[in-house]
Amino acid sequence: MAELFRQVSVRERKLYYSREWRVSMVPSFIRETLKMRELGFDHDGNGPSDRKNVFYDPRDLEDYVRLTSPYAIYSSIALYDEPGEMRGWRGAELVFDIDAKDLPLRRCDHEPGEVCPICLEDAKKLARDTMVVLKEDFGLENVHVIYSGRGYHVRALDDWVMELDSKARERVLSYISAAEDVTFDDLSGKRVMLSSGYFRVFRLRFGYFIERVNENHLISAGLNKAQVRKVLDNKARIVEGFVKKGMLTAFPKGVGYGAMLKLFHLSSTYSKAYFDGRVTVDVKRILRLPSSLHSKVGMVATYVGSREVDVERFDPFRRAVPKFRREEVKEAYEKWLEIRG
Amino acid sequence: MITDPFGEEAAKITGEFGGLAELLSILPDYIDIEEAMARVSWEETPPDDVVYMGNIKDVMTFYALVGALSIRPYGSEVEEVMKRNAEIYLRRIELVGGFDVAAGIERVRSESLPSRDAFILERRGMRGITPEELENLRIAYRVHLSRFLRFWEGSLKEVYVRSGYAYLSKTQAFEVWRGYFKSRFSEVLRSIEHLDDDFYTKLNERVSKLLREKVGGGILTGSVKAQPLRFDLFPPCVRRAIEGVPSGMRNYAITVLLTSFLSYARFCPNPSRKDVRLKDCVKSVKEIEDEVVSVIVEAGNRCSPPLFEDQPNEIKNVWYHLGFGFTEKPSLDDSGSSVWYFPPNCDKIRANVPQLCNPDEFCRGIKNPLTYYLRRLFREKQRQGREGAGTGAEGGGDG
Repeated sequence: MAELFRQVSVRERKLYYSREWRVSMVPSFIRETLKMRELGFDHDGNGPSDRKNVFYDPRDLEDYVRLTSPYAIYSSIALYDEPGEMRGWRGAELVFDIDAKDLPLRRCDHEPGEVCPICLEDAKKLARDTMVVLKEDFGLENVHVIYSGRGYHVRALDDWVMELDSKARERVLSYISAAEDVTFDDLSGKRVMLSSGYFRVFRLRFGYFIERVNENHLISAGLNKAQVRKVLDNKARIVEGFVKKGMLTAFPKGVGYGAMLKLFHLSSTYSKAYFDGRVTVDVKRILRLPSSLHSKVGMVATYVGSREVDVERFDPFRRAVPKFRREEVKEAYEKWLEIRG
Repeated sequence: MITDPFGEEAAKITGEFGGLAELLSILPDYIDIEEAMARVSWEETPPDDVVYMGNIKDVMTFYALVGALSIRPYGSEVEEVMKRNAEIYLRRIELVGGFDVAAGIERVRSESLPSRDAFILERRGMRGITPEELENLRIAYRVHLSRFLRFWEGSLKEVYVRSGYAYLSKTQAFEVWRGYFKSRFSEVLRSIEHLDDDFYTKLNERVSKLLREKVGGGILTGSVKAQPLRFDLFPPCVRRAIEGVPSGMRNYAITVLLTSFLSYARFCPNPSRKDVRLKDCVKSVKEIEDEVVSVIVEAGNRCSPPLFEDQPNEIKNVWYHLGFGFTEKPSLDDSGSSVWYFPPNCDKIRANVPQLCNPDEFCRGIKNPLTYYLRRLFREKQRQGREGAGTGAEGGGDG
């Protein structure tokens, strides 16, 4: 039976690495600094136990990968003087990892821990918003989005972010994930209406939240039945007025400051979980190498781009499918569409 | 007027003497101890003779203090000397009306921001705000985020971020500057090599004596000693970890958080140095097994699926985090084979396992779960002290 995601065989790995993959498919921001990066390999599906490899020439990497057809390939986000020893740390990319299988507020009804096109679409939206915030608020210019196989990586390489320590990265993460609660003072002082800064990010994440929230979520947040109805009936108005324009009047009458604070708190609780924080704060992390095969799901980790429009247009089921699975994925996708209606 | 001892003007003066090392070697001939002491012996605000000190003397007296502190660079005086000197320069910055370029804090007009944002940030149109408060709220500075993140200890939520800059009111800019000053001060302090001159030893003794008399008291948690664990006073994240957590959170909650928290809370609540080992705090491994590891194992068993059944090797990791190396059966002599991990800060816990962080009213202002526990223990002790005193008085009356 055709499946959207499935583990690939050793033979298929060999097929991919010998017929499809070339080292030139590795994005230039990695290729150009390859000799400063630690490369890790998972040869059997038990994790990247073969670590601290260095390739001084991309052609050597190509030869090695073709020869071994590994289960997974990783490269460090850090640059080192001696990558083989992980010594002489020169800086690390600032990374945000959005794993579609772990996203809360799912719009689909499959088992937790699985991924479907809807989860991936949601992860893509979070990645896009993250890229926008990094560019507009942080003034970053060297930001790249990668489809990782089951989610997205947003990687920033501007000089000054490369130098940030873990503590600073934690604070950036807290900002990007809108993890801090909006308080009564923020509301009454209208700071929540600001067009830039934390509260703009908060509203972006709140927009994602409000579009996906259901009756049970709102009841558990402590809203009464009338308020729940009003919020659900006015989702579009809240997104248009509050999320986009920062107008508190977008909330319907009867949803006062108390109810808003409850909603905001719930939104923050969820938005903290959109990112795997361990990846952001770890300055020596290894990440799946773009262009390599994610053998567990049978998709290719694919470079998406560095522009908002690249992310919006990206379709993993067209661009991240290895040739040997194209027919299968096409069939499975059509079937999935049929079932979803 | 020198507004920054690490800025351009001060660097020029230091350079004229041939660099910091040369300056430190000759300055005992130029100034006396009392002149340097004047920088730290004031009460509420720095006196005019310090604020308006000549440039060369300013640089000399400042670096005399830094030199004196370098004898004990981790002493408790460092913080206080740093604080008092920062206030001297901030007073001058206020007088001059701007920062030295070295700090990277630029002047900006709030008109450069979207008008609605400036209106909100500066609370224009709000009643009951004094002109002085309004002045302090005015967006007057900006600093690039690369520097802001280094020098600001608070969250990014507290400031207005736009196009790579944090826009700041005067109060916020001063706070960033304090962070910058602290960072540069520590760097310079660490860079100073051993100073032989008696001048610095004497100055160090004078500073220590003065600050002992002035500051005294110690921090809020200073008097908490090693004692049996009080589970009822644990922070919410630790209580949650003890209850057992699901897969995905287990290793962090049990091996990283619980192991470090319980061991420090029980055996070394106030570590005197960074490289403290458990064997400095206990008489036998059995004490650790009975009072800490047993709690960790029980918490692990309450996880879903049970942590130590699922990952039998994880117990070795627990001992590793306690500083005994990766072992299952440690002896006391093994203590020091690895680092005894200190409890992670709240930020780190939130970043790794956000589900653990569900703050209660005591979490306000807390940055580390151990501080939470020590503060509550301290308050509990104070409360018991007050109640004990009350009972004693009544008893006396009855008698």
